Amino acid sequence: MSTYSPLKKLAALLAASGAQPDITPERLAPSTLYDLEYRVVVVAMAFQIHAASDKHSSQPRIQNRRLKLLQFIAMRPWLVSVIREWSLSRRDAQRSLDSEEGLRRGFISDAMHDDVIDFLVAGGALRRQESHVVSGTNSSVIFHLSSEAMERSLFQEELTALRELNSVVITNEMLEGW
Amino acid sequence: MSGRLIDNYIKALSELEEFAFQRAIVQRLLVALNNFQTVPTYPQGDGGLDGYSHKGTRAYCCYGLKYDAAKTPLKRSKQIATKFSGDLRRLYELDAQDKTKKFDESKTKLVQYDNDALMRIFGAVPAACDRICHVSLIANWFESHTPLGTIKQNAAKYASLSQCRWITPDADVVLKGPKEFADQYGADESTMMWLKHQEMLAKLDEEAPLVEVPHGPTFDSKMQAAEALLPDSRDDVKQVAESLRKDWQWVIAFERNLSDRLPQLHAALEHGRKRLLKLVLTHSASTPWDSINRAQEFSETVFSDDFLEPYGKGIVRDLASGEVARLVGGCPINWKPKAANVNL
Repeated sequence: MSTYSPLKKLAALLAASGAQPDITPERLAPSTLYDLEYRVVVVAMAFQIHAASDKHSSQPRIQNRRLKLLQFIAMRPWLVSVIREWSLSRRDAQRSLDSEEGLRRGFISDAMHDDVIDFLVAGGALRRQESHVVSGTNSSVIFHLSSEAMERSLFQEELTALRELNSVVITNEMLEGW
Repeated sequence: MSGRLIDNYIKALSELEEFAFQRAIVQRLLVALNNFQTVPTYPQGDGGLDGYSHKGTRAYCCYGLKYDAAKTPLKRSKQIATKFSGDLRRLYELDAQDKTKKFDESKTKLVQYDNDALMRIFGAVPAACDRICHVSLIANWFESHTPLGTIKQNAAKYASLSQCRWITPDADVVLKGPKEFADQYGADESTMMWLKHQEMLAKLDEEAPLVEVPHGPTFDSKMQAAEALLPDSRDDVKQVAESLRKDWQWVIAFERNLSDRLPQLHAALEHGRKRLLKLVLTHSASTPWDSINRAQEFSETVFSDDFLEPYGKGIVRDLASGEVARLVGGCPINWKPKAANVNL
């Protein structure tokens, strides 16, 4: 196995100079993608912007899969152009499958989202209704979080992505796995 | 060999264009033929050859046409015939007498010239029995028989006009598409993995230099501190800093790719990062510097668990380097001058 490393070269020079190494494990910043609070806020914003009441429900609701895709893209705003292209090309069999394959595989295997929804359902903020999620008895949490984030101009990139997604047609076929 | 593997290989090959196709063909030939010799284009052209085998008696030319540039079968056939006829002319050392005019196969007068690239590739003009007697022309598209006749006629014409110093006058010239190529040379898992990751690697190489490493003066200030500690090795430190920065940029691009497409592997990367730091911290090395010295080794071991199988050793090595660089850039590893002795 290769042991080439620029750090090794630097460490050898520094050790020879008598410098002292300093290792601080607590400075290893975890990715925000695994931060429950961040994920809850993104789901809350996605729900507030995209959930709607319809003839089946007087309360705002959204397909679970749709919410999963929306929050996945909100956390990765550079994917808005990918889903827009996918949406535009969905009737064109000749176009490459590459972009949709990657995105579809990505959002479907985002297992942490399912855990976040379970958490929100357990807390009463959301409720499952067949293939949808509906606001729960404690839904004020969702709306409060979302409003606070918007008022304080927090998570602007995520918010912009979620608003842009309003203009993208996302069909049920796009939400299905293979 | 499983039908699925070979079908996937044929499909993947036919989707590659230009240099990517040539690289894939050459890579497979290197595995399939132990006497295959690649011919790099640089510095002064490949002389019409992308590779040869069997002591120079078999030649290989590749062409990955650009599908966008030739959308109809007729155009594709024409482009393939034109490209390979050009390669054959170089092997037969023929060129247009008047190079200022546009080349026209039926009208342009051909004259003999010395192909210096072939002289550099083979070193000397071979004996008649050692000249190229079989030419494989390998294209990413072969769904029309139209190019066959043109290439056959052109080859016969070139042979009749040429001194045939490198290729025999009656050499076989065989056109192959992805299917014919795969039928002859097969495919294996490693070839498929290589093919599968070429696109991703090319994308990462393109994206990485544009990645902005996280804000904050940490990385730069550490390198400045290292320069101050090592006034006689400033150039070395600068080189190391540049190398670490590049590795760090690459791993950020790789991480983003995983996050977009394979969240589960992204989670494995996140766990691996923690394990790596723990290993550097707790390893029973004689000194902390020894531990840092071995960070790359630890890193390759840690990331092999989840990434060796899907990505292979090359990517594990790059990933390990990037994660080691991140330990410096992202804060956990630092250095400071030796504390002065204090006499109380």
